[in-house]
Amino acid sequence: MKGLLYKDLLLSRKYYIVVFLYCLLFALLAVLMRISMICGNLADNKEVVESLTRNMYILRYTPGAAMLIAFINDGGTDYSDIRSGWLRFSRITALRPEKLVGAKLVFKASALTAALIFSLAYMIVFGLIGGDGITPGMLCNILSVYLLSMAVSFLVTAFAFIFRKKQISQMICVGTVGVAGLLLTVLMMVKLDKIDASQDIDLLDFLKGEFSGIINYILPAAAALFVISAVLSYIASVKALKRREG
Amino acid sequence: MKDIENAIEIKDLTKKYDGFTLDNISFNVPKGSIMGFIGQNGAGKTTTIKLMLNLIRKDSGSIRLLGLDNAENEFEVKSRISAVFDELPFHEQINANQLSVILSDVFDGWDKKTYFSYLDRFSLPRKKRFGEFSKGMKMKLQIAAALSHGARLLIMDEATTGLDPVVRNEILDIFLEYLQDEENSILLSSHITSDLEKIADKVTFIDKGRILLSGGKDETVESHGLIKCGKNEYKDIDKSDIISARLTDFGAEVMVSDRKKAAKKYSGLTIDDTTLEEIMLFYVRREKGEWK
Repeated sequence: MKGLLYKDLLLSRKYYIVVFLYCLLFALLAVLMRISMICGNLADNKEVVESLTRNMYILRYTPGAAMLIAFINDGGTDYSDIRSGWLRFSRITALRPEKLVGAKLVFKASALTAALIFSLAYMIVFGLIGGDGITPGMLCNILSVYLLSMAVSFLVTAFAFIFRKKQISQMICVGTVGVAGLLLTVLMMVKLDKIDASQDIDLLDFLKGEFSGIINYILPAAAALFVISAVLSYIASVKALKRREG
Repeated sequence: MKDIENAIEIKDLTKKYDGFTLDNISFNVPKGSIMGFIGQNGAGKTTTIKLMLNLIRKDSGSIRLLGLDNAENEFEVKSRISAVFDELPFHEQINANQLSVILSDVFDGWDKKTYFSYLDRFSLPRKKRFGEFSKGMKMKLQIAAALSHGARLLIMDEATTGLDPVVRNEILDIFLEYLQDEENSILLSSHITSDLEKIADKVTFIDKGRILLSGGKDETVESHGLIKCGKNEYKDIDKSDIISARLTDFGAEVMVSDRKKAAKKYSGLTIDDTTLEEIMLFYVRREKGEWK
């Protein structure tokens, strides 16, 4: 399998390096900001410190989560395999569809795991600087993003094997995200409808309260979605390769 | 490998598409030989090759490659054959060194030494991206890869099309070397008949999904003849002896499939030697009978 993994790495390394550098830059800026909040220029301005502290989750999660989400894509190796004729070539060799699909999924999982390691390393450093460390809740959050990214990444790969046309896969992805966004918006509207407009309420605290019931289920749900996506993507991709004519 | 007589055995193979049917074709490629698979564009060559490689499913008939059914023993068969198409199937961003690492994972019998010796022989750079290769270099690279994992059967689909004569000759020489091992065989599909004239042991003509001729190249060329005659002489030739006739301002060129018989029957006429290209040309127009 290592030759196939090597191929994908060769094709996607530029994309990964660019994403990594952007996220690293963001992480460095966030760390510098936190240092400044403690012993730098920002420390003198209590209002700013208070505001930043309240929104600390943005600085804590964004660099890692952004890398995880960006790594759902791998720079388009799936479609590059189709365009170059590699996928057809692989079908005239003794390369089994199971190995071909397996290598793809292992590659994507490896890239996302590398992004998770970056996220955790950053969060630990960020926590150590601020003295608040890394809590189990934070771990659950980033693990959830990791598992959901894997689930989506596997599905994107399966779409490439099944539909072979980038446009169709994009339409399905955009459609799915659109429907999910719509459902979330409706849910938020229902929740926000409960706010008493005459009272001064912190929106973030309100939403935390409203969603506290389901927060414990996010990680198990993400894990379940990951398992379902991995199994479905593998089976569907292998079947699509076996069934394919031409 | 068990002892086999034919590297390829195709029997009553049929595949129907809307507007095209590969109609009940049969032919064999004896082990240790090179078979030229000739036909004009759209004749059914690529469809036949795709069926052989199990890239498309047959409607009926049987295909045995190296003694094994190509569908039942798909992966065993594919581990012992190589196929080369007219387009490079590798990513443009990678180079020959990197390809070796990748293909060592694809082919169990990958031989790095053989691969690099072919690269040196073809003067192919190892670190240049394939995107910067010329068409000839790309084809040489494909052939180097195809011959570097111990394949016993090489299937080439229009692989020499679009290449200059020097490169084509270089490639044909490699094929002849490959055939020095009598366990190796080649099916070379092409509409460039001059290449096949040089190296093929056998030829199979396909047209509109049907096999018109299949046999030894020399026998095929020798058994056919081209009668060049005047208009009056042409009228006296029995139509059943004619494959088709090209009418000119001065008379006609008539292709006959049994040269000896024609020589006896039309002793007053001169029968010239013919070529695979002319045979193909006259067979393709056989339904018209006469053409200009």
